[in-house]
Amino acid sequence: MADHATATRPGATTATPTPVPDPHRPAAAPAPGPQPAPPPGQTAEQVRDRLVRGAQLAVLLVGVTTQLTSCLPQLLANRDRFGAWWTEVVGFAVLAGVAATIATRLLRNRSVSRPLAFTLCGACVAAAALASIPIPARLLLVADDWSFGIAGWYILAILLRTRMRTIAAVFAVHALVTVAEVLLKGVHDRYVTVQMGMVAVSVFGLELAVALLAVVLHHTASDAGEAAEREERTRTAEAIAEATHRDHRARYTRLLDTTVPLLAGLAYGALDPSDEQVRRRAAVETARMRQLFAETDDVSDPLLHELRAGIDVAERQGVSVQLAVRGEIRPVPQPVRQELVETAAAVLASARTTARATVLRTPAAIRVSVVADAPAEVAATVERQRRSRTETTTTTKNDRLWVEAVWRTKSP
Amino acid sequence: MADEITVTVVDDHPAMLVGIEQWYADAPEPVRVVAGGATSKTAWLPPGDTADVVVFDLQLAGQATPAFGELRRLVDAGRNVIVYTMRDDEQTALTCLDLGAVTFLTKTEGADHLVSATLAAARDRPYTPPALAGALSANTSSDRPKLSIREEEVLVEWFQSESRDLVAERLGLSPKTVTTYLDRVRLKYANAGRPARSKAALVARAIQDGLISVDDL
Repeated sequence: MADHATATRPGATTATPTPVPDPHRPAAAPAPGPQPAPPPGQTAEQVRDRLVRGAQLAVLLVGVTTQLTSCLPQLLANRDRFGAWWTEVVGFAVLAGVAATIATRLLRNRSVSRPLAFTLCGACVAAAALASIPIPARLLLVADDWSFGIAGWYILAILLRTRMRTIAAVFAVHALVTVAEVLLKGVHDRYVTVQMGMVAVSVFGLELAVALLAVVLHHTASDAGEAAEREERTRTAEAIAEATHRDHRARYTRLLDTTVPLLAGLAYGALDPSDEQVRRRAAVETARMRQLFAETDDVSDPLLHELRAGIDVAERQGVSVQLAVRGEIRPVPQPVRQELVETAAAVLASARTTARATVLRTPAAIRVSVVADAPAEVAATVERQRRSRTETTTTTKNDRLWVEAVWRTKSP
Repeated sequence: MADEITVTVVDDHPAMLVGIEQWYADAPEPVRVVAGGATSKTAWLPPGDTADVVVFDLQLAGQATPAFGELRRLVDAGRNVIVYTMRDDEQTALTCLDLGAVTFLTKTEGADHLVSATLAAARDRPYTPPALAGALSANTSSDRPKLSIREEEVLVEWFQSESRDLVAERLGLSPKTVTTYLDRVRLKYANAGRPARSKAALVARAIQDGLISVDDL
């Protein structure tokens, strides 16, 4: 208790003519403190999302440029060379379709689901294989076989978000299909085989290098996101500390107006401690001071702040209010807060002499409860209040009214 | 007066001491404050060293932090300690319980709770005041004992209403059953965490009283 003895004085030192905002008036300015903050990790996620999306668009652009400037002329040149030209045209159209799908998704900022991603990759591999059917074995993988490299770029654009392992696996499938095709068609010239291998290695090598860059990008993005989040947390903490300080100062100052005259009256004998009226005033002041002392650093919870306005109204009517709060501060949306506080305020305002208000925050629910010696009719008033987000239970027994408002965040 | 319960009060506010003595004077059973003082020395020196119960203020003059060390030493010496404090946060409550305090009361909880808690502590019976019930229901630590849905409900409602009758009315139970649920929760906590004589005594007594069976443990 020793710390509290020293804590009762700050009001005196801050009683300057500067107008101190009174956070207790029911219609007080917007409550200080954190607005419902995004859940942790969300900022980092957003930063990462934007960076990776940019990289995907870049890779897609490489693919589209290649398809238009390199593949299209080759497709036209192949027209009368190998027969069954239509397979090449179909392959080309499918690849263009894949590119259009990815572009639409990325530009509209819509995510590509896992099944869709793998379907598109499958389409790329199949289109590449289909387009290379008419190409004779010795020309596979070289310039005349235009479809081999382009499929890889689109696969990369689709899978850049996923793990490196997945990208490598899909490339492996693409490579195996090509190898199977080569084996089926049969290549007898060792020189040609080596040349094919070199082409495959350089194409896949370049594409995998880009994929590796994307992995680095992922890490950088995570770091950047975390840094942004840290900064945001610091700013929020600063704002809370400042609001807390203001709030405390205002409330200690208010003790000057109410507690000090009472103490002075008792000390000089102007007030009689046996007078019922004086005792009630003392009870109210005690409750008020207890609330101040009991507060730790996190007073700037908007829910508590708004509830205090209701408690203040009751205290002005001479009701001594006990407040107990348990559980960690959690963001409560404004409409829910309003419902919880309104219910409690209705009971507090009708209390005759004493009331107990509690706030209990558990992972499953946020509960605000008031027990008071209020008339039983108040229960009906409370039950009539419109509410859509919270549940209210009322109980009356032995002249006491108990109302509890619950916001369930998780089904029990 | 063989059955008289003796109490040592460690609190740095003389007014508190007078108030507590007054409350005990109206207790249903004889309770006498044998020693009172501003430091825990009071509980170690005669006549305070043999009292059945120690009422202990965590926040003593000249100390910036709660006197958890003092509490631990008293508990390890086998004393029944009721923590009676201005501090109103659940972490303090849970820490005191884990250290082996028989119960945790906040100073906003008045005479009835202190008297009931003292009578219970002297006989190694559990007593869970509302402030402590609130701390137990808000406890999210990973080593939290597993409670039944009913036990959770009773804890929440008892914290909110401070009235067995109101809890009983709301949950459709008898006031006695409400107490039983609270006691069971308290025993689950006594059976967890750091071992202490006071915790073992609570559990042993509960088995004797038939509140829990050995199989429940």
